[in-house]
Amino acid sequence: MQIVASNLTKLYGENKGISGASFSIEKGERIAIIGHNGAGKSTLLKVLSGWLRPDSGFASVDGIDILHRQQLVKIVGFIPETTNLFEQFSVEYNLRLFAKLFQAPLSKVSGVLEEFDLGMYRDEAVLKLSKGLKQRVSIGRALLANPGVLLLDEPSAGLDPEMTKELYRLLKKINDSGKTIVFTSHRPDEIAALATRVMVLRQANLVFTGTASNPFPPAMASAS
Amino acid sequence: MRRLITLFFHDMAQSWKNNSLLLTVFIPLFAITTLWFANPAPLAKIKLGLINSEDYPPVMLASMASAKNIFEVSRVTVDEGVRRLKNKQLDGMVSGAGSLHGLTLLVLKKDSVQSFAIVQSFAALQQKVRGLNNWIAEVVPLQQGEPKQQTLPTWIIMVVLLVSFIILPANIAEEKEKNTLSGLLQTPLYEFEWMASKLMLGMVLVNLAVITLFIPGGFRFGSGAGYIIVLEAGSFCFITCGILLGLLCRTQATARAIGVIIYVPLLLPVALSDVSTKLSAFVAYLPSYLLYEPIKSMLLETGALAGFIPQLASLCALGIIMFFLSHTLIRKRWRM
Repeated sequence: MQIVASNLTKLYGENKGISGASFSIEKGERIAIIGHNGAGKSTLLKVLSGWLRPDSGFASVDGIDILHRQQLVKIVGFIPETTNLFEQFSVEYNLRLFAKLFQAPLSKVSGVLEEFDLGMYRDEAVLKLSKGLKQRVSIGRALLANPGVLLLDEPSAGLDPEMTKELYRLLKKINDSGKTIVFTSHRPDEIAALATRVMVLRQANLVFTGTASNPFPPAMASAS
Repeated sequence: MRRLITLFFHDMAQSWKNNSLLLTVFIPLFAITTLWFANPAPLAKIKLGLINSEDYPPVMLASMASAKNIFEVSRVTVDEGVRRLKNKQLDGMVSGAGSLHGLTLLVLKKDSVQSFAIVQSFAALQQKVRGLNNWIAEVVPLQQGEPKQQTLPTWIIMVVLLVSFIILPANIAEEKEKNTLSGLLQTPLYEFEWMASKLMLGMVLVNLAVITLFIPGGFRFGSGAGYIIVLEAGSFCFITCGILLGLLCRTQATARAIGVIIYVPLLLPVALSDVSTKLSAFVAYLPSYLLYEPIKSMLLETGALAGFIPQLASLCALGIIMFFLSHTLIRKRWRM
C-alpha cells in the first residue's frame, strides 16, 4: 500500500476538518474524495501533503511519516484549488525556481514545458494565462520532483468544458505512468470520468469508501 | 544553503517587481533632495535694516559702519522692512531708537541661526566700543556638523523602521494572501531557510537605503565604524519584528495598516526627542531609541561602541526572541 492513514484527526472546530479517518490507497489508484462544503476534503489533502500537522493519528506515504515534510514533499505533489504560482513572473521562471528548490535538474523544466504544451507560453507572465493554463503549470511544477502521488484540490473548478476534458486527459496520462492520483470533487461527472475509487467525508468523518459506480451509493448521494 | 541563496535572489527579484526596491531607494533620495534645498547657506554678512524715520545712537551707527565685513546695513520703511524680512532679503530690523528700554530687534524667528548671529555680533560690537572682551569668546557645539548632518540619525531610523514595518510585512502578507508561501513550503525548503531569506532581504534593503543616504547625500561617516555594527543589530531586531508582523496578518492591507500604527509611534517621538525634554524622558522606553541613541552619539558626537554594549545586547536579544516566535508561528501554520 502506498498511502496508509490510521485515526487521522485534524479539527478546526467541532465538526470542521477530519476526525479519526482510517484508509489505505494502493499505488496507481485514482481516488476521488467527495463531501459537502466543510466536510474536511481539503484538510485531508493538506494533511497528506504535509502542509498541516494532524492533531492525532498517523499517516504515511511510501513508508514516510507525513510529519517529515522535507522528505514527504519529494514524493507527494499537491495542487491547491487556487494556483499558488508567482504570477508576476514567467512560466519558465516559476518552473526553474521550483526545480532549483526541489534540487531537480534544470533540464526537467524543458521536459515539462514540452510535455504540457507550455512551450509557447514560457516567457508569458503567469497572471496573463487562463485558469486552465495556470492549472497545467501548477501540475507541471508539482511533477518537477517526480512524485509518486499527486493530490489535487478541486482540479476542474473554474474550467470550461473543453479545458476540463483536457485536464482529465492529462491526469489519466500521468496516472498511466504509474502515479497515484487523489482529488477532491463536487461533480459526479468528474468522479465518473476519473475515479477508480471514492472516499466520502461527512462532518469530518470518513463514511464510505468503495468503487465509483453509477448510480452512486446513498452515502455519496447525500454527501455530494 | 543553495536553496537559501535561490530563495534570496527570488525575493530580490520580487522586490524589484513589486517596486519595494524602488521605494527603498526613492525615500532616501527624496530626503536628500529636500535637505539640499532646505540647508541654509552659510551666513556671509548680516543683512540689517534700520528704519528711515528713526534716530539711532551715533556710536552704534559708527561702530556698525566700521564693521562692514559683518553688517550690511540698509535704510527701510517699517512696511518695506517687514516685507524684506519675510522674503529673507533681511536677517533683522532694528527699531525703537527712542525707547527708554533700548532697541528692539525684529526677526523672522526668534530661535533661528540668523537671530543668534545678530545678537552675538551686536554684543561683540558693544563690548569692543567699551574696550572690553566678551565673556564667551567662542561657542563650541557638542554635536558636530551642519544641520543636514544632524538630521542623519533620524533618517537612518526612518529607513530601518520603514523597511521593517511597512515594506517587509506587506511582502510577507502578500505571500500568504496569494498562497505562494504554501507553494514554497511544498518544496523541501525549511521554514528556517524561508525566514533567513526574508531577513537577508530586509538587511539588504536597509543597507541599500543607508548607502543611498550617505553617498549621494554627502554625509560624513562619523567617528569609527561602530555605528555600522549597531545599525546591523538594529536592522536585525526590527526586521525580525516585521517578519512576525507579516506572519500575523492575513492580508497586505492589514499588514500596511498595522505597520503604520507601529511605525509612527516608534519614529516620531525619537526624531523629536532632541527638541523636547518631556519626549527625551519618554523615548528612553522605546525600542527604537536603543538604535537611535548610539547612532546619534557615534555620528554626531564622539561616542564609541564600547559605551553602548547594553543597547547592542538588547537589540540582539529582542531580535532573537522575535525570530524564535516567528519560526514557531510558521511551523504551526498559525493564521495560514
